[in-house]
Amino acid sequence: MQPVVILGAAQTRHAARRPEASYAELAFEVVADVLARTGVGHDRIDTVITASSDFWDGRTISDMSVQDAVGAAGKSASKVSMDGAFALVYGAARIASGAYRTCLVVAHGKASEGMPRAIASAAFDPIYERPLGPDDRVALGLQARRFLDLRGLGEEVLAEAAAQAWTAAASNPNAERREARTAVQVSSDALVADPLRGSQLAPDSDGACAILLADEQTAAQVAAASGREGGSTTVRLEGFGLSTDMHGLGDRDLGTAGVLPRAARSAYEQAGIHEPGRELDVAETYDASSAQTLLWREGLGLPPTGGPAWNPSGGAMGAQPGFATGLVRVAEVFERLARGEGRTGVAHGMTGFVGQAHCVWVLRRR
Amino acid sequence: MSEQDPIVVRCTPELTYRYAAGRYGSRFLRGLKEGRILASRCRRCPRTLVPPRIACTGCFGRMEEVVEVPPRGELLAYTQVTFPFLDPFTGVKRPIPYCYGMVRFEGTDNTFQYFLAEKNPANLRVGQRVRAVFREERKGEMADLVCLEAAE
Ligand SMILES: [Zn+2]
Repeated sequence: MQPVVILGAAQTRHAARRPEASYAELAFEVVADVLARTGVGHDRIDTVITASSDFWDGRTISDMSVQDAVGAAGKSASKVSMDGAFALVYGAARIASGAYRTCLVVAHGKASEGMPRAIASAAFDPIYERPLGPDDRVALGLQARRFLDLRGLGEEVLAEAAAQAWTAAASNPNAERREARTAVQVSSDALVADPLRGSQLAPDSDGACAILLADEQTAAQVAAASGREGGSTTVRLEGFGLSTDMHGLGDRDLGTAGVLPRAARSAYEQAGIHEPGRELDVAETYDASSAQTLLWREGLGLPPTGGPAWNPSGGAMGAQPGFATGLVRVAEVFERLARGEGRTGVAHGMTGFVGQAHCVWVLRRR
Repeated sequence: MSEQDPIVVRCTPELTYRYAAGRYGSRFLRGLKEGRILASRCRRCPRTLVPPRIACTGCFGRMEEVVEVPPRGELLAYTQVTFPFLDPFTGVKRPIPYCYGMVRFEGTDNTFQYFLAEKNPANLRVGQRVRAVFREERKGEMADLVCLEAAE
């Protein structure tokens, strides 16, 4: 298999509402940005993988409506209707196979155009669950309650984790949430899904993210053409893991990290990581609630304190632009490693309610 | 219901959307309000497209310019709609049958699809000249453009 190099990444400024831009315009924005950053011309892109949701976009076969905007016309293109971190698996496989030299992976999400709660509700079982009024947040409430009960923890841990996320996001120019908040502040707003309050849930955001992948030879050519020192700042994808759990909430133990440890183990094994808490420099996770911030940290095999820089962007708690959310985690880890802030990082994406499916990526700078 | 009938559960979820017209689509709709047809132009190709959009279909460059094109052109394809259809904006049934077609506005490189004044396809022909008909009181929405009618 060919090693897979990340040439560059770009993301929008994520916001609760970006009414001035259509989702195609958001996608174009990040593609134009990543091509400009890497100096790679559109004619050098071999294949394009997009991640989008027909329900979210309100468009049947939603990938087709963004093909023009991501520059896929005339190229080999395909779609993953899951979180963008999963789309990266498809894209990376295309490079690893040797069949393609460059691959653009693009994900977008515009929560403001549809009805996020109603769309989430439509994913639940129509006979047994939907009459109960479930949505993503209700499921997150059930999960948080199980999480606290299983460990004998009080609700204050949710507030502490949320305050950390808000504070980290405040210094992330792309985050939707840009104000630091204390644990007291995030325990005083209204309960949305007991025991979770609004500020302990990830926001619904509009945004997009693009990542440009290449094989090593192309990466060296691009580095040489840009005048940068070839090889020394290369960030590679060195391991990934995918794992999917039972669909029904009643068939999983919501108080645990579920199948995340399996996905993490696979990614760490491929990357030769034995002690993630010591060997990783940065970790970015798709945490849809502050209970998940704590759960996924555990599921990724990281200690409760210390270890790698944890969600330095604020994680999904800072911005949750639909299926772009997991790809943004990869972009965040890439940017940090490319800047020399650490050598090895882990990025986590998620699809399905309260973590039915997980995707874990290990990135390493060489 | 007999003991053997399969059970099906009826569900009527309601989903509404607020589609952003975007930077280019908003310019187009504002153009309609002024009774004008606007297009995006790429100087590199060169290429002029209606409705305007961000990415050039020729070179994938950013379409920097938005220009006005003449509200008339050539009919390149047409068909007749004969099945009952709810207008997604109004929720009201559109009277059938009616025709819609693809017109290449003068100075543009693609075709634009819109209602035709003519309801009988037997009276239409590919290559015929058509012109845009705007309503008197315009609001900056698609309905400002009533239809395309024969211009010869
Ligand atoms: Zn062009």
